[in-house]
Parts: sequence; structure tokens; C-alpha cells
Amino acid sequence: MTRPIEEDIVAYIDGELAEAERAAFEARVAKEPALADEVRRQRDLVERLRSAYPDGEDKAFDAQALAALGLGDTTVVELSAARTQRRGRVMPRPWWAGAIAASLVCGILIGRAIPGGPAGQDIVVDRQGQLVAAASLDRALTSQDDGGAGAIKVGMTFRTANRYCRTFRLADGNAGMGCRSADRWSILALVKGGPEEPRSADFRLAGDEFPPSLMSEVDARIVGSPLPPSDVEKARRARWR
Amino acid sequence: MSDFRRQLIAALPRLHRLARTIVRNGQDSDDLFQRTIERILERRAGWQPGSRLDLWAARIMKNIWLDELRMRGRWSRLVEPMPEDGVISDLGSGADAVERQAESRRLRALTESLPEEQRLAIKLVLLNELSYAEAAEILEIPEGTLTSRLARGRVALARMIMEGAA
Repeated sequence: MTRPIEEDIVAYIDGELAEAERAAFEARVAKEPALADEVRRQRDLVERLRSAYPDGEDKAFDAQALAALGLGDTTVVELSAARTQRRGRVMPRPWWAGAIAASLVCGILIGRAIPGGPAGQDIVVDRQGQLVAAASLDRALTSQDDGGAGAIKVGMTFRTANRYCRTFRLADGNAGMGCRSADRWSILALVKGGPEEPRSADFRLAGDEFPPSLMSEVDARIVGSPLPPSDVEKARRARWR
Repeated sequence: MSDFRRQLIAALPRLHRLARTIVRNGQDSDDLFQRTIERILERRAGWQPGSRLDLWAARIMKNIWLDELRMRGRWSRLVEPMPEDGVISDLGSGADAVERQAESRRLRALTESLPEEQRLAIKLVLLNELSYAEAAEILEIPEGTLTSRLARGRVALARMIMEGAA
């Protein structure tokens, strides 16, 4: 390697040296105090830069935002339309047919009720205008581990600024995200999924089986990384508070 | 839903963040972001299925940005105001917080004054946490060139800090 040492220093700090190069570089740092000083200075610079440019919250792209960008989706419907359908009147109204319900702003909804529970039980119900998990979905989100099999699969658990959220996938391929508020799981996003949903090459957060549109909802809310199993266990014992 | 659209929607939050890191001004970054999406939709035929749509999209954003800089006839950025890091409430550490904010401002000013090619490399890798391979693909330069720009920019910043400029 004849490239300047400065390039080795930054590539080392950025984790971009191959294993052998890294070992050789570390051996050199151990022997050369001046080089060690330079590495320290550069590490310090990276820290200072990151704190000088704090990360803001990621922007969430709801149906309205997507429509404004020319990326509207015919499979997304208004929440009120979803409710109408649940009452048995089939009114597949595309979202652009009317004003978008304020309640949709928090997520993406598919245009039908989610039975999915045993004996045709609804597993997402409307409680005072808020969609919450019921029956087997509530139990799954409250007690299941991430991953695992079963009719309802919990994908991953993460923290937002103020609460816990978990993604889930139903047997029919539909997927969603529930966030804990007090004693219930509010369903902030429900998307029509299916086995054909490809994995986004861009998203590495245990999202392989989840629709990209759901993962971008997660991406917009997550603070830090998805929780490891030990933290999920801790959160469960603390009743998700 | 087409594969193109799905992948693009999944990449939106990251593209939006990229626009923010590139320009650092609320108004401007939304504008850059929107123009990028428009151009992506116009040129969707240019995307090769199977390749990474997010990187292709980021390249388009970078080109719009650089075109605009050229058009404005300047190759360096002004330092735009940033929202402050929050109100200082803790009296005990207040002085420290003021000091830290001032230091952050100085460091931002230095970073924004770097040559554009170095500034972009640093922003993509350190603030957008892209790998060298990804950043090089977005900037359309070989990885070796990227490493060299990163090193030159960071050595310059460290030197300016040591000399007391920050």
C-alpha cells in the first residue's frame, strides 16, 4: 500500500479496511505514538462533526405526502371507507375521492377489516375512533417474542421517542405496526402485503418480509436500533411502559 | 404496485435525510427533494431493475444539486442557520452548553467552507452513514478518489481545529 497514511487513518476509523489491512494498521498504531495521536484526533473530529449536525426526526410519508409527490397508491383507502366496508357496505373508494381523513395521517390503511382471528373475530377494532389490536393480535403483541412462527408473527420491536412499537404480519400476508399507549396497542399502520413483496435492498432492519411501505413507516419513527431479545423481554416484564 | 414505486417509497425517508444533509436548510432541502422525485419519475425508464434504486435516486439528487451550484456560479456553500440544539434549561451546565453550541457552529462553518467535493464526501459517509462503496457510487467516482477526498477534507478540518479556528 503506497497510499497516504491519512487515507488509512480515515478508512480505519470508518471501518473500511479489510481485515488484514486493519490488523497491520493497528500493529503500526501500537508502535507509533504520533500515529496513535493522529487517529485519536480524527476520531474526535468524527464525534464532534456528528454532534454538530444532529439528526432530526425522519420525515414520515403518509398517503397525502405520497400523493403530493405523484406517488399515490390505489390500494390505500381512507379510514372512513375502511369502516364503511367493515359494516358490510362495499364501497371501495380510492383515497383521492374525498378529503383524506385526519386519522389516516398517522399511517397507511388497507380498505377492509382485518378478521384473521379465530372464529372470524376482528383482530383490529375501532375504539373511540382509534384502531387498536384486539383478541389474538393484542395477545401476540403483548406476549410473543420477535420472529417466531404462528398465525401472527411479530417482526421486530423498537422504541419511538416515547413508546414501544412492534411490527407484525398476519397469516394472509397483511402487515402492520402497533404502538403501545397505556393498556392497548394502537395500530398506526396496516398495509396490504403478500409473499411477493420484495425485500428492499436499502433496508436492513429485519424487514425482509415486510412491505417497504410499512418499513418506511418504521424508519420514520424508530429511535435507535430495533431492540435485542433481552430488551424485548425487559419491556414485556415492565408491561411495555 | 410496481416494483419501482415500492422501492422508491421505501427509499423516501433516506432520500429526504440525504437532501437535508446536502443542503442544510429546511426550505432548500425540501425543494431539492421534490425536484429529485420529479426527475426520478420523469426518468424512471433509466433505472435498471435489479440495481439499487436508492443509489440511483441519490445520484440524481447529487446531480441536481451540483447543477444548481454551477448555475448559481458558486462552488462553495454559505452556512445556513440551523435550529439551535434546544433551550438551555440546566443552570449548572449552562455555560458548557453555550460553549458546545458555539463550538458546533464553528465546526459547521468550517465544514461548509470545504471544497464541495470534500464536503459532499464527508457528509455522505459521516452524516448519512453510507459505506465507501455506496458513497462512491452516488458521487460517481472511484472508491480511491472518495477515500482521498475524505482524507483531505478531514485532515484540513482537524488542522483548522488545532489551529484554533474552531
